[in-house]
Amino acid sequence: MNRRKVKIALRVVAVVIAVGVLQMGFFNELTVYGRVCEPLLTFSVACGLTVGAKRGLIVGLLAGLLYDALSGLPIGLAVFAYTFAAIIAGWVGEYVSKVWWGLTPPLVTLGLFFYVLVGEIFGEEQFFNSRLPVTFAVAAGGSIVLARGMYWLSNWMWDQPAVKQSRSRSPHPSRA
Amino acid sequence: MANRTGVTRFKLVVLILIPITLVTLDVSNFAPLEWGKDVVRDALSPMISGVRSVTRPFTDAWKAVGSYDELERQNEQLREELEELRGKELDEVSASVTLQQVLEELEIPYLTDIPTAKARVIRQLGNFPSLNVDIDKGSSSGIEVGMPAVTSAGLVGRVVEVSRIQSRIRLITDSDFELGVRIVGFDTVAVAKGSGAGRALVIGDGIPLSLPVEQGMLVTTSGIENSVYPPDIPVGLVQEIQVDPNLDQVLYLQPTASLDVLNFVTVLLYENAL
Repeated sequence: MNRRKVKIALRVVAVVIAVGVLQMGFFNELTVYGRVCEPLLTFSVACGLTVGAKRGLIVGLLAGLLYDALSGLPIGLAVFAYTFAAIIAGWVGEYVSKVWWGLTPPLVTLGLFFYVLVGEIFGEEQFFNSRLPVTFAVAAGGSIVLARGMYWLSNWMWDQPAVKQSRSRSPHPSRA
Repeated sequence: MANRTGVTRFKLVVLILIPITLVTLDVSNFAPLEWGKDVVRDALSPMISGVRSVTRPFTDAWKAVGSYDELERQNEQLREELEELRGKELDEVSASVTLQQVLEELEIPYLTDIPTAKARVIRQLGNFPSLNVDIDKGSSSGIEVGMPAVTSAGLVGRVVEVSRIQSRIRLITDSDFELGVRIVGFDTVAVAKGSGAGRALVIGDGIPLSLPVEQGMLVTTSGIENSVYPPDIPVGLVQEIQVDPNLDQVLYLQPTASLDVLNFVTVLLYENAL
């Protein structure tokens, strides 16, 4: 492993931890109708969109592990949801001509839906409740606010220049 | 075969298997995984608290703006209630005082000489909070897995995870929770089970029809030999009585402790619990 790869690996771990700490310490306090945004999930999706499914998978895995460890819920639920959301974001990013903020809300909602689904399967009966539409709406809205910053952070973390997105269907440099 | 994004089918299968494996290991309390969770929580808790403290002015302002209408409505409601209360004499005492009186009348020694550790409940935030309750004391305060947690009103739950500075308590209403109980005034011992957050505990069998149980009767821990709970801790009050096809009485218990508004709990450093 060369020095650049070590640097990127350290960055990935540090940034995921930083986003997780901010989510638990700051964003979870900013409630809207009793619900909060999901920065770790948004970040996983952003990585999938900007740097591809493979790297998104890595970030989703780390972010999911961190969320599971801190949330007190069974480990594996967020891992599953976040990585899947990141992979799908990677596929979506592959087929759109421009990665823009409007892509994150549906993908974050999808990730949350995965999370609720897996939680239900593994006996977390409190996940599925009447407030779920509000949860989805607030998380999706929060992802719009966070999207641009997360895209930038993802590009910086993987040490690649932010690409001026064109309307052409040429692949992203990271995936070329 | 790799697709355009570099994620092979093999990796996808592995990806599906990883969470399933993790959940399975977690549910079976796999020691290295538990240790890893404890390390992460202990390491990041001070950072999370720090961020929370630094950003408090902003988050407080956010809450003040966001909940202004709600606070105004509550204020109005409280004013109305206050007016009502002024108009009549208070002839009831709080539930906890009543409970203490009942315990004294029945000469039940509640928490006399058991060493304890008092802890603050850590608020759980986020869209999907766990049904368990986290507290800010851990093994460094003598807390170990299995120890009972109580408030002055009664049993709250049992410690299921302990790290150095934090612990997790499974509430008595959790559907996985079972404990031996007895109805005060009778010798019969039965098993009470949780049935989910916000729901009553259920004693499904072991209470024959001949036992004259009435609504409002106090149910405490049984204190049978080798029980992990000390005897005579209040658990719940009989809320509803039904009869099942086997002609047993099915009792629904309202927990004596207010589990929805926990701020502090006392962990009993009870040796039998280990």
